Amino acid sequence: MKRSPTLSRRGFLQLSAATAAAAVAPRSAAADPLRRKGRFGDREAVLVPSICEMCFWKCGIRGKVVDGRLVRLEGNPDHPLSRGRLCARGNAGIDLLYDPDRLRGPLERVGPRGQGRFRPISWDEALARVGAEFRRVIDAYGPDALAFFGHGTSAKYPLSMMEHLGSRTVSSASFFQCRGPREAAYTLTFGMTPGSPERVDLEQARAIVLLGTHLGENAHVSQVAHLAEGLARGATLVVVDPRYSVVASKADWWLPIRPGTDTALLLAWIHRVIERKLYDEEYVARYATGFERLVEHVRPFDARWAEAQTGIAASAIEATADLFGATRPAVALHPGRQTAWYGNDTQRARAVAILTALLGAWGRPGGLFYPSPLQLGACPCDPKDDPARPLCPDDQYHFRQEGIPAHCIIENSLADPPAVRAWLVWGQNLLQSVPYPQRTAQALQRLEFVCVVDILPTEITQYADIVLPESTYLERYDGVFAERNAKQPFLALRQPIVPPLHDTRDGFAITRGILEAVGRSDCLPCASIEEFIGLQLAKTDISFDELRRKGIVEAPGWPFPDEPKLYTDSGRIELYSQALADKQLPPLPVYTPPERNPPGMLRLIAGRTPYHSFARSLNNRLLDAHVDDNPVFVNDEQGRAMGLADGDRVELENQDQVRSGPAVVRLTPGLRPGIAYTWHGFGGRSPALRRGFNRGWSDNTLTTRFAVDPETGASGMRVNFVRILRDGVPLDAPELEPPPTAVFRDRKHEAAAPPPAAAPASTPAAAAPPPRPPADSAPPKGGC
Amino acid sequence: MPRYGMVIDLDRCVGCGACVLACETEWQTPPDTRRRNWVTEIPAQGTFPNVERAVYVGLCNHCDRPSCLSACPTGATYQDDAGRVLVDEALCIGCGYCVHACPYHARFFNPVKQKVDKCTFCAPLVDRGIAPACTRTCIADARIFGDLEDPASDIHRLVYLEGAARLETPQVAIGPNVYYRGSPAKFDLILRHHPPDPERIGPPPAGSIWQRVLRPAMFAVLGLTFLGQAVAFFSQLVQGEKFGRFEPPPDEPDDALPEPLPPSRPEEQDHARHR
Repeated sequence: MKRSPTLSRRGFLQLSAATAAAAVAPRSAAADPLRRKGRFGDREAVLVPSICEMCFWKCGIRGKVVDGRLVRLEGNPDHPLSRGRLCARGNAGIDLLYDPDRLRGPLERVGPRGQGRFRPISWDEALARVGAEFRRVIDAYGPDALAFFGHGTSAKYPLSMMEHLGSRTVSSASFFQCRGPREAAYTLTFGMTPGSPERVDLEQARAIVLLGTHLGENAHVSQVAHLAEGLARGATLVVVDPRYSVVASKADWWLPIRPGTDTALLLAWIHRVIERKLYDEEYVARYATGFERLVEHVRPFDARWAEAQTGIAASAIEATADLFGATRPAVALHPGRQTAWYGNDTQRARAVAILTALLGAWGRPGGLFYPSPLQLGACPCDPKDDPARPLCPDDQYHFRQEGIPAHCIIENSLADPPAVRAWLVWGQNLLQSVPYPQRTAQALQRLEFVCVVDILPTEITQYADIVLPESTYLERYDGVFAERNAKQPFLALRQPIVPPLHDTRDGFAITRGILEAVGRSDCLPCASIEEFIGLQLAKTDISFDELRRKGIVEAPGWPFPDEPKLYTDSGRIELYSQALADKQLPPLPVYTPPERNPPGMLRLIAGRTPYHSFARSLNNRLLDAHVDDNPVFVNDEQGRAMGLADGDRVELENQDQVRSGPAVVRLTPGLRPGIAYTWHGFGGRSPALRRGFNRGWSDNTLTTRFAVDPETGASGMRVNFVRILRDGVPLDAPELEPPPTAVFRDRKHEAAAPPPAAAPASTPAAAAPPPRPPADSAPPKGGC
Repeated sequence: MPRYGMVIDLDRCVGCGACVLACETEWQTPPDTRRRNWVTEIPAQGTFPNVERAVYVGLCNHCDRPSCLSACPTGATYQDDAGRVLVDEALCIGCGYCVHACPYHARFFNPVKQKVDKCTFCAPLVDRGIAPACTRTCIADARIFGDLEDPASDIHRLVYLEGAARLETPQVAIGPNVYYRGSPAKFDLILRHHPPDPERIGPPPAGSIWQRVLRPAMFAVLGLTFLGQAVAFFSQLVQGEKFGRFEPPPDEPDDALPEPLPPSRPEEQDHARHR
């Protein structure tokens, strides 16, 4: 393991306050002696290392600045995870900085709420208004009447502010609409979450299992790189997905599962692994508890039972379980990331965790590794543990983290009388991220005060009373990142590549401004983000200047300790969860069959395109030139039976008669019948985002139903169904259920064969190639 | 002297488009005409669940025998010692004949520069020891760039020992130096859906007339003129100065000598004598 020569174990000891870096004024990049020089074309450029925020994976970037202008963003080769790689969105970050539609200064609403009419005001005025309103609401109704929705790196400062103000009405979208079920499940089973980035050792795995995770289309750079490396080293890939994703096309096993039945497959795998003694007996005996009860629990769930539930051939279920037995413990069972699907998701994630444990993969190379103990100095303003029971019924969502579900806050804002009176929405386009946006919009109209902090004038900003503009990631510092979830842990600094273009501020400064205006500046003793960073680094022997210069400092880690560290109540891996049993929730994974499609309708499922970060990037000129629309993908046989043709323009109407805007149909054999698949985040309705306005159609507008996961309160969103209409005429989708199936490709031997000169016999019967485009036409955008 | 080439690993590539954005921003090609490199999805083909999908990742192939060179009327497009096919913008008149002469559609007209534009294998960067932008940014490490003639290089091994494939057909085999390794099924999809175009092996019809008729005719006339001059010169050398301006015709009086004065009048002549 490579260890940084500058950071030794003693660096973890607290140093005296005198060595804490004082506030450092931002310097001009060109004059800064810390900055390396490079070239862009034939001009000299200043190079600034930083951390990307086009999504939240935090890849290392290097900005090239020529005459004060950012001309290029590349990957930072020093970043231990991304190693100089950078996805399409990261490369296109320049257009975020120079986006002409960006928020340029604080705004105050003019006219009715929701119409997006504002007048510019000064920061002093804006903060004074926000402070006064928050003060008034807290004094009149109590602190819980002030709610916070947050997302992004800087959200932790206002989250801490909320705690200091005494409000427990906070919600983190990345838990309740995304990671929640797996965080709860792994915490229950192992005593810790699988982390972000997920601590799957893909590079050393002998078998890799992805349940729905469409890595590659989900451009989480380092994870894609590690997957590619693991496959190149010979790992066997099992992809469970009703859709033939890019990564399914690399798989040895593609199991095109019926949506909503993954838990049945997992139970059958556990059944087989136990029945055939494919598990790590010694590991389970030493580190786990509840094995005997698990054995009893899975007894009925054999492969034949699972075949009937999942539509996957029993032989394939057994063969893949046998594969895990043969390759354990180096089985990288990906825990999933966006796991809020059907409202029974913690149970499914528990099954993944349990199988991981049976294979002895937790804490072992090729399985899941441990985080580093890397610690930074704590500021008194750092958020502490989850607040105690807030505005959620006491008997619900016991295993939630990161606040309370968004729908609790929304319903409490619409209650009579409302229990929530004011919202602070931070870095989160609520109307695209939280399901049932129509209800959110209603709540927004009820509120007494709405403050939105954002970078671009997204839909949610149109409902604000006060808009506070945050600087982009390219213009600001954030608190030092301690990357613990890497085999090579490190510290990373996001720092300004250029000074702010407009009258915007970083999140720390905004939070401090609000606190001062509310009369509580005692809560944030640091005067600035730079001072805060100094406090963070006080526990290390790294100077702020050193970190500014290098951008990255590596630190030691112990990803595969000899003994697993288990932080559960019992100190063991809890195959059977007493904590769940104590709350009258299933202590062993329970499978709930999904509801059938209503006749004629398709289940709406959304995923990603690698060219965008959901709604965040839709105004980006560079990315928009590649993908500016989201098709609706339908199984080709089913589509043709409905009378659809590829390229048809249709509308979709959901089970609640909500109708979408026009959508282009793509018929594909690479999707199980019964599904309408698209990319999430399109159909933006903020006219202030001129490029992103009305591009494509909004899946979130059709997500009017959501299924609440009882353990966490996370909102399962794959429970909406759509009917397709063309020219206003509904086209009923016929029932089309394929026989039990699975696809196995002997990828390794296929790759060894010399490439064919002509069409080989091994390829499946292909449809006629599409007509050749006219000469010099641009290549078609997007794909299946 | 290096001979540069690239290998695209179809097993690694996820079709994310990072390489296209890196190239666009590195070389500042206009967003609506970005074409130095491309990532083209070949959507799933077949019948559920027996399907295959692929991604055609392409760029200028810097071919062994580029069909675009001879289409250029000004000599702006050339191939350097390292095998890179490049465009000298000072000489490019933007006629676009070379665009039509590429069977891989690798060239395009850049409306901002008013010149032809194409991948250069990031020559200015590579010559400073920096790998091409697309290669460095690739999130799956699916692009291998290097010197085909260096036996120690990865690309040499992939091409000459492990048999990475060329995107060629019997009709179009001009020796592209972007190779493909990995899934034969994916490569086959690419070859079937995006084969090199046999009708684009030369300039367009107008350019064809230029190339096949006018250009050779021009050179022929020029050549004949020079030939004629050369013949005349050598003939003079051999035969001496027979046809010079001051050579009198044979048997003619000497023009150089003055005419004798006419005799004076007889009475003037006698008078002079009697005085």
